[in-house]
Amino acid sequence: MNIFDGLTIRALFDFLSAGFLLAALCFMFIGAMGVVRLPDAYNRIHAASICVTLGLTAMLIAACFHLNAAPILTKSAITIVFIFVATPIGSHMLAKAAHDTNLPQWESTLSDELAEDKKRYGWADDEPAKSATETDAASEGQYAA
Amino acid sequence: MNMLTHLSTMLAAAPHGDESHADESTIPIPPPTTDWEAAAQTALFVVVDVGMITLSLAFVMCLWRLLRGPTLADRGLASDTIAMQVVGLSILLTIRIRTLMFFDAVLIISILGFASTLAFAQFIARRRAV
Repeated sequence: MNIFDGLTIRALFDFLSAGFLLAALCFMFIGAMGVVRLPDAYNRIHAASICVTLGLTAMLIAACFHLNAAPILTKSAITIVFIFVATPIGSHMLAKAAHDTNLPQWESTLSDELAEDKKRYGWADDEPAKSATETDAASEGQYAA
Repeated sequence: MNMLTHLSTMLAAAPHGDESHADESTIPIPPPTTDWEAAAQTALFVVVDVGMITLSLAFVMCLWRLLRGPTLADRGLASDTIAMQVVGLSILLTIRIRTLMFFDAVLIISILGFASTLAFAQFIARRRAV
């Protein structure tokens, strides 16, 4: 199918694939630079999660454009949906676990709303810590007795 | 040397251009017919080759973070990113040599990366209470 002067659909799809792939490589490399360069674990989680999600999605779309075969299309669709659901959940759980272990923020970070909410609503992580001290006290009492 | 000659005879005897024994998992590529198609294919393959180098560089940078990372969250995050870069490398390999064999690994490695991230988060969170 000729659009003009030998520019076929296949050539157009290959150019689109190259463009998506270039965007994906920019995303992935910027994400890796963020993982290396940013000052804080929370900032690094942010950089890695966003750039990896967009980069892998663009790369799968590029694969769909170049090799337009049915298995590639279905597996790419499944993988794109999975990545869009799973990567934010994973990075969110990682950040929440880091915050629960009182990982200090970078000193130039402006706010810590999760800590304020923990203080205000009593979501504090002192519950396991309290039980740990209680068990410590109990075991100490046991030893004393 | 003997093994090498044996391997080369095995490769020569393998059904190479035979259409009846063609590999099911390889997508055949027709030769480009116009100048635009040749230019597009060359551009795509140049981007793929540059991308393999770029992704390997990103892999090494994340490996440095994995080895050095001051906290446990940094290591978990770096391992998650490394898994996703392995997925990207396998997509590039699929585009480059036009085979379907490595494309199953994409979904599997992304699921494994997600599960390992969750396990890392649980490990970090439980480590405090103990």
